[in-house]
Amino acid sequence: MRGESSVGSRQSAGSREPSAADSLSTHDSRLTTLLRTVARAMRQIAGMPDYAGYLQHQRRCHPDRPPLGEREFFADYLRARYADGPNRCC
Amino acid sequence: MTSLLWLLAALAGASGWAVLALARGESVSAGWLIAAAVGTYCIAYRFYGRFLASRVTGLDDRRATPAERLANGRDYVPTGKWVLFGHHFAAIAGAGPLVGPVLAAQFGYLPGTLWIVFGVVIAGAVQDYVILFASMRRDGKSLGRMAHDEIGPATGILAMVAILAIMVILLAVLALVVTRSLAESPWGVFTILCTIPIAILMGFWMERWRPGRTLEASAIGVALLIAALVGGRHVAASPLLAPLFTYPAKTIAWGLVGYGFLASVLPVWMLLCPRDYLSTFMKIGTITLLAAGLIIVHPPLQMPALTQFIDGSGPVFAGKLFPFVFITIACGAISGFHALIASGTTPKMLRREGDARLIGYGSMLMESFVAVMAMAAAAALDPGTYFAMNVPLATLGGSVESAATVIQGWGFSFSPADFHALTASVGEQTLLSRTGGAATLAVGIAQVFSTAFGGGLMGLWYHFAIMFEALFILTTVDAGTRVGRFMLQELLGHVWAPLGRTSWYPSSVIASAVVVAGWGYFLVQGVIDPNGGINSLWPLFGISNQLLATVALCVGTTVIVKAGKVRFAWVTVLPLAWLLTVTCTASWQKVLSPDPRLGFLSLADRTMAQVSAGEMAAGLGRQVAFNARLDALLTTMFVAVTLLVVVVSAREWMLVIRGRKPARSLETPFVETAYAG
Repeated sequence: MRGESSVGSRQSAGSREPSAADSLSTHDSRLTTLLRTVARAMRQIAGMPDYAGYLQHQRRCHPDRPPLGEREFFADYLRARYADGPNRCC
Repeated sequence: MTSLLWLLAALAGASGWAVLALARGESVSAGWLIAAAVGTYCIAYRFYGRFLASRVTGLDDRRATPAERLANGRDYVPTGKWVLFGHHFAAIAGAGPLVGPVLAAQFGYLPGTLWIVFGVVIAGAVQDYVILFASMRRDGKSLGRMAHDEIGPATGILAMVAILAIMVILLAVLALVVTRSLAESPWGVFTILCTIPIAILMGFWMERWRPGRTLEASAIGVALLIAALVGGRHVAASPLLAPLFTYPAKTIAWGLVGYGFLASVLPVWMLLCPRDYLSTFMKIGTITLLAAGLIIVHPPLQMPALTQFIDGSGPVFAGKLFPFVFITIACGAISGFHALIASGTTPKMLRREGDARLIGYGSMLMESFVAVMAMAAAAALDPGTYFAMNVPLATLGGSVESAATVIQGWGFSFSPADFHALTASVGEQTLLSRTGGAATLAVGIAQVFSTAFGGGLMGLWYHFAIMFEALFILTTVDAGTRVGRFMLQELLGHVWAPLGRTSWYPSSVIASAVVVAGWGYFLVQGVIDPNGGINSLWPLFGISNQLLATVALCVGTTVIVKAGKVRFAWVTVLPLAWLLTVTCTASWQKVLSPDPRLGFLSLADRTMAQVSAGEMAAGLGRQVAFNARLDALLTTMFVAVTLLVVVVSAREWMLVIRGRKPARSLETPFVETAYAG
């Protein structure tokens, strides 16, 4: 499952917002924004799926396609993560 | 201002090394060890790291990374550089950098520390960085794939077979480390057993009950883990419950084999994935805590800088300082396994090319720092305690009193009363001959933590450290078995197509069973080995890991040469030559040395002689001899495969250098980034 994937497809262009700003939403207060950024960072460090980030990506790049549901995305993510070569070292 | 900081770092490093070099007789504070290491890392990162980034590889922030071009919200995700630093570090740092330095402390703290610090600067961080760079420029291709594309198809398959074989040895030795630290320890066994239902609970939480709430589940998991740790103390103290959780090493080894098989065939979300998250948070938390603790306490190093065992007579493992310090400490200085991670998830997450220096070179410096901390924690122990815990029972005799005679005979002070007191304070029945390094490190960590934060809670901190090590070793065992299973299925798919289908249940069960049987065999043999098993398995692991690094450096050199930068090829050729020298010497000695403590073949011969003289039971003797010959065969195979890769690669370089082959790079073409400046 390298390169091309079942979730997203090859992109040559698209919107390129810096990722840290992805979870920002105008309705949030500063504190919730901060908490979300921290939570997102923790997820990414541990290699956890980031459904909010995925939705953002789909909305931006594939507005025509319905995104996967949360559980489907989770399953798809895990399949790729643990089938694709070692991701933890000695 | 910045240059002032760099100057400060240089000064810290220089004074650290000066103190270490000039100390004669009196004990040195671990603070100087840390200062020397950190100062050296800063200078190396600033100058050598920048040289690699800008001159050798030419990182270009205007060039779009795979994360940007192929963004899919799942694995290709542009990630902030400090977050990715954490992600990559958590992926590469495991038990290797913790255990290796503890074993190598038998030579004294200095040789190991020098190799850890200078090895990482010249070799380990260079390998990680160059492979990360190469993979980033190739849409995140794996090491095996790059070997296939850049050097040749045969090399690709060789690399894959080598990776699979190395994985089997790695999993066996790691499982052995856990087995040795859990044997006859009801507290440890209870805590580790609890991690299984805790992980399954987390799995159901994230998958079934509250889908996607991974952080919530992890918080619950960590809380339950701490509860299990505290509960373990009461279990160990209860005359009713303690026997239920007290097992000899052999039973624990078989338990691990069964567990590894189950974990490999169960769905990922149920066990492997939650355990992975749990161990990542524990790992980062504990390493941060250890750094803080060591800086606060900065204990004196009680181990001498050099011991008499540099001559090869060491009781922890056999072999002289050269080449065995470089084999024993693999991870921490250079680890071939990292090349698999650096060509795995990380290159698909780099937001800018320029971040690759921090992620590739910087994370490896950080891992080296973990190894230095492990060395400091081990060297801060009193040497008598260190040897009592790390020398095989066959050498020490069966009791603390007989061990005292042996250890005092080597010239180290050792008090049986103090050792009994230490054993009681950590809540164990015995600490004698807990080979494998994990328990030693746990005592070292417990001493640091209980001085720094814990008000003398030695037992709790000791078992906290054991749990932390066992947790992520078991994660590696789970994940490694699964990856091994997929690799085996891919290889078998060439033989009979249905076997290659990873979704076909019988194929998955067969492949899992083969992989588990592979490492399980070496694990069980290691447990029944009268010399403790670590003795023979750890060097085998070190050799295989360094040989994988050799393959990675071959790929790295090929990438540099084919990019038309032959004049810079020495950055990978130099460590390559060094590793080849070290591993070939070590392999030669491990296979052919006439000393039965060192050479596998002479061990086999001596064992058979003992059997015919009636000094050893025939069954056990035959098994020991068979294993020694098997180890010799494996070592020879590893070396042969690696030499083949080196020869084929060198031929490719010569063709390019002589102009018979165009210096054609297989990088994906330049696309300009859309990120602002």
